Amino acid sequence: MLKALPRILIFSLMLVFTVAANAQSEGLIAVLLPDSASSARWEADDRRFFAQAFEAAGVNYSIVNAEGDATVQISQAEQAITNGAKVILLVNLDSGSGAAIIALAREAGVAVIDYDRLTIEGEGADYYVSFDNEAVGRLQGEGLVAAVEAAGIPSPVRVAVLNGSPTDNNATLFKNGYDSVINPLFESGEWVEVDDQSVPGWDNQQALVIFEQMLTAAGGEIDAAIAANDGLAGAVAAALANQGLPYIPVTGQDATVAGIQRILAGQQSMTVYKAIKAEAEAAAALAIGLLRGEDVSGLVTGVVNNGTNDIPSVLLVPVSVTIDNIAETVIADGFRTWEEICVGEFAAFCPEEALMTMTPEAGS
Amino acid sequence: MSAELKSENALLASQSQQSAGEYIRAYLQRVRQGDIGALPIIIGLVIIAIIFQSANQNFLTPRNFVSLILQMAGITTIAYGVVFVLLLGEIDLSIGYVSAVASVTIALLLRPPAAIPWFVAIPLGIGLGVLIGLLHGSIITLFQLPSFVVTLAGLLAWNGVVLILIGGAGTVIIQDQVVLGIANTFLPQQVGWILGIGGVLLFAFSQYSTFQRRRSQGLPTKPVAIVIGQIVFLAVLVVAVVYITNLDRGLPLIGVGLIVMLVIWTYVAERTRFGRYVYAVGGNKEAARRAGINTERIRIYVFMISSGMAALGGIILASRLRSVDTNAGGGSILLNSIAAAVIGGTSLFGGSGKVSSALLGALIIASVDNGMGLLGLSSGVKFVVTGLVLLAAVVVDALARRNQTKSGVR
Amino acid sequence: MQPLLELKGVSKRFGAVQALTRVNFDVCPGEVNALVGDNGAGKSTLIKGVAGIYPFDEGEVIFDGRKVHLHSPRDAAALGIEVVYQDLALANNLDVVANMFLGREWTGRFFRLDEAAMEQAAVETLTSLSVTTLRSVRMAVAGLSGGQRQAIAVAKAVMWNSRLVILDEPTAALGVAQTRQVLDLVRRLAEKGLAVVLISHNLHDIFEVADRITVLRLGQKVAEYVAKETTQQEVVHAITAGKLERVPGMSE
Repeated sequence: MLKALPRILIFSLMLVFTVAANAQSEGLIAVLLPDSASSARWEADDRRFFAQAFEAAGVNYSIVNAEGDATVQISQAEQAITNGAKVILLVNLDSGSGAAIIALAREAGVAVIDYDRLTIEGEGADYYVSFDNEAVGRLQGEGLVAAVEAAGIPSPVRVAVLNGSPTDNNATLFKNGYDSVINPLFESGEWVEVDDQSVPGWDNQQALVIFEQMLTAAGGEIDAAIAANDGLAGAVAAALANQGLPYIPVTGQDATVAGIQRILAGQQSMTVYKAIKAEAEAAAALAIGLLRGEDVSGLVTGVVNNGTNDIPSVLLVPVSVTIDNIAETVIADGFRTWEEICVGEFAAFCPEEALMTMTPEAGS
Repeated sequence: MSAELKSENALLASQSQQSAGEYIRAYLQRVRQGDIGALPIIIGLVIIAIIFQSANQNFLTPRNFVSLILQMAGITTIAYGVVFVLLLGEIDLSIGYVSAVASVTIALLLRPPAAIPWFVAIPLGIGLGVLIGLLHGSIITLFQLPSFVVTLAGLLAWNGVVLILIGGAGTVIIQDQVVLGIANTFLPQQVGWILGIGGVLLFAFSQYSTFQRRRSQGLPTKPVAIVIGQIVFLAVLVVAVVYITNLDRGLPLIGVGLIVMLVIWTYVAERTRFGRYVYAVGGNKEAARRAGINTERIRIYVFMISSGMAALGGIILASRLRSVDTNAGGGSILLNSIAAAVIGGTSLFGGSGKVSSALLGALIIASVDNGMGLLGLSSGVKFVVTGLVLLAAVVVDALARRNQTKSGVR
Repeated sequence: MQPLLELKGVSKRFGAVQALTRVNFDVCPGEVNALVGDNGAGKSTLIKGVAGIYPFDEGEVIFDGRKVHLHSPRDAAALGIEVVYQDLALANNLDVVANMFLGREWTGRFFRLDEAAMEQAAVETLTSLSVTTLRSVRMAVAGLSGGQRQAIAVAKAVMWNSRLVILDEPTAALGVAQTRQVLDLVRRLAEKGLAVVLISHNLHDIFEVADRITVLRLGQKVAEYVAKETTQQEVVHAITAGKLERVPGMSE
C-alpha cells in the first residue's frame, strides 16, 4: 500500500504530462533516467548535457525520470515507443525491469543504449555506454593501497569494506574492481578484512550505523576502509569523528564537493572522477548516429558481456583524484570550482594558487 | 477498608487508601486483562540483549551503549511527534522528508562563506517544520481530507524540495561546531552525575508534592511503599546509565535531550488541557466536539508538533552524519519512526498510547539494528528481522487488545 | 410557577420535510416533562433546536422569562442547558473524571490540569446523586456498565450547575436494575430543582418519573397530560392517533 500509492500517483501525473506533450511526428530519442535520490547527477548533470547535445544536433528528444520506480520506468518506455522513439537511452533501476524494457523495444524495432548501468538480465541492450566500472573499483583499491603505504601503517592492516547498494549492478562492478586489488593482500595476510557490508540504497545514515558497529565490533581498531562512493566515505569520516578517533585512509567516488573538501582536509584519501559530460556526450553521439541510420562502429571502443551476449560498448576511462591532482582534473575541467570547495574551515587547506583565483570575500 | 463502609458507599470506599500489596495485585490484574503497558518491551529488550551478547561480546559494552543512544536519537525525536498524530488516529507519512527539508535548509544556511549563525539557522529550520505542519493540518481540516493522502502528497513534494534545495552539490558538509555538537557532545563525568541525581530528586519531589496534595484533599494516594519503590527504581536506572556512559565517552548531551523532550511531551500529553483534548478527539471525536472542543484546531496543532519534531530529528540526524545529502530523509527513517511509536505500544487507531512508547520502541529498533550491525549481517537479513520485530509488536498489541475487550477494559 | 424554558410556536423544516410545526412546549424547575411520540414525531428535532444544534426556523424561545437565541451548542451551554445524548457523548479511553470535565477542565500554573480538585468535585457530584456503584473515578469509562455510563453522563450535566437537563432515551439500552438506577437519578435531578426533559419510548418508565407528558405526532403537539391524571392507554392513543391541527401536505 505504502509503496503502491506513490506509484499510482506518479503514473497518473506521467500520463497527464505525456498526453500534454503531444506525440512526436518523426523519430525521437528518449532518455529514461532512474531517480533523483541515488545520485544528484541524473537531474543536475545528465539531463542538461543530453539536452545540449540533442539541441545542437537538431534532433527530437524527450527526457523523463522514473523517480526510483521500475514500474513507472517501464510505462515511460512504452510511452516513448508510442510517441515514435527510434532510440532509447536507458539507465535502468534494476536489471529485471531493464530487460523488460529492452524486450519491449526490440519488439518495436527500437534501439536501446544502456547508459551507465549494464542490464545483466536477458539478451542485453544494443549498445552500452559507461565508465569502465571495474576500472573505477581498481582505482579505489590502488588508491587505498597507496594511502596505506603513505600513512606507514604497519602490517597487518585492518581494513573494512563498505560496498554500494546490493541492488545496483555497478556496485558489484566496483567491488569486483577493488577486490581484484585488495583480495591478494588479504590472502597474503598483509591486510586483514575486518568486515565487508553493503549499504542498502547507498543510504548514508545507514552507512553511518553500519560503520559505527564495525568499529565497535573491532574495538575501534580499523586502519583503513574502502568506501564505494564519497557519501559512504563521509559516513566513515563522521563515525570516526563522532567517536573521537583519528581519520583513516578511505576511498571515495564521484568527486563531490564534500569528497574534495575531505581530501584537502586529510579526511579522505581519494575519489574517482568520472567526467559525466564526456559520458553523456558519447552516449548522445551514439544515439544521434543510430537515429540517423549512420554507421556508429567507429564510436565503439570495446565489448562487455552482460552474461548472455557481448554488447558493443563505449567505455570511458575514470580518473583517480588525490590531494596532488585536484587542480589538474576536476578544477581544470570546470567540474568543480575552488569557490565551492574552499569555504569555511576548508579554505585553510586550499592551495595558495586556489585562493588567488578566487574573489576575496568568497574565501572568508 | 472496613466491610460496612464498602457496602454503604462503594464509591467512597474504593477511594480510600490502598495498601502496597493491593496496588501490586491490582497491577497484575490489569496485566492479565491486557493492560500490559511497557512489559513486552522490557521483556523484548532483555531477550535482544541476551541474544546479541551471546553472539557478540561487544554488545553490552559501555562503548556500544553510548553508540546506541546516539543511533536512536534521531528517530526517537521524530517518533515523539508521531505519537501525537497516532493518538489522534491520524498518520503523517511526510515526516521523513520534512526532517530533511529542515536539515538541508539549516546546512545551506550555515554553509560558508555567507554563513548565518546557528542560533538563527536552527530556529528557522524548526520553524519551517512547524509551518509545514500548519500547512498539512490546514489542508486536512479545510478540505476534510484523510491525513494519509495529504501527507502522502507531502512525502512526494518535500522529497522534491530536498532535491531542489540541495541541487547539484549532492552533499553539503556541516561545519558549524554548535550544530555538530548536538549529536556529538559528551558531558563531563561530574556533570553527568549532577544531572542524573538532579533528575531523580526532581522526580521524587514531584511524586511527593502530588502525594501531599492528594492527601490534603482527602483523595486516595498511591501506597507510600510503591512511591518509594518507583523512586528507587529510577535512581538505580539513572546511576547505571551515568556510570556506564562515564566508562566510555560520558553521558551524551543528546541522551539528556531525549529525556528532556520525553518529560516535556509527556507533560503536554498527560497534564495539560491540550493533551487531554488530543486523547479525547482520538477516543471519540463526536464526544469531543459536543464537549465544545475545537477538534480541527487540535488536529492542526498535532500536525505542527509532528512536523516540528521531524525537523528537530532531521537536525540531529544531520549533526550525526556531519552533512546532508540527496538521500536525506529517505531510507528507513519514516518507517522506523512510525514503527517505534507502534512497537512502543501506541495504537494506530487513536486514543491510546504514551509519549514514552516512542522512546521504548526506538530503543528496540535501534538495538536490533545495532546488534545486527555488530554481527555483520547482510542488509537482507536485517530487513527480515526488523520486519519480524514490528510484526511481533503489533501481534502482542492485538492479543492484549483482545484480552481487554474480553474483560471489558479497552 | 414560571416555566424555565418556554417554546412558542417553533417550526423547523429540512428541505421538503416539515419536521416541526408551531410547537408550544414548556418545562418548569423541579419538574420532569416527558416528551413522547413515535419515530419521526419530531422529538429529536425539538431537543436539537433547544441544544442549539439545529436552530429553529421560526417561533420564540423564552428561557427564565427572557427571549433568547440558540444558534450553537455554546449558546445553550451558556444558559445552563445540558443534553445527555442517547449515544452517550463519552470518550471511552478517558477516565470518569476526565469525561465529566471534558471541555471545561480546571487548570493551574503552567497549563497544568488540576487533577486533584477535579477528582474531588467529581466524587462530590457523584455522591450527591448517590451514584455508588463505581469502583474508582480513575477507571476508563470503557470498562463501565451502561447504567454507570448513563449516570456519569447525567452527573456531568449536573456538575456544571445546569438548570435544564435533557435526557434522550436514557434507559434504551439498559437492563432492569440499571434502568432503576437511572430513573432514580432522574427523579433526584428534579428534586434538586432542575428542569428535566425526558425523551423515552418506554411509557412505564415515563409514568414512573414524569410530572407532565407532552405528545408529539408528525411534528405537531397533539396532547399534553399531567401524569397523575392520565393513563397509558390515553397516551398511547394520542401517540398513534392524536388529532392533528393541520394535516401535513395541505396548504394552509
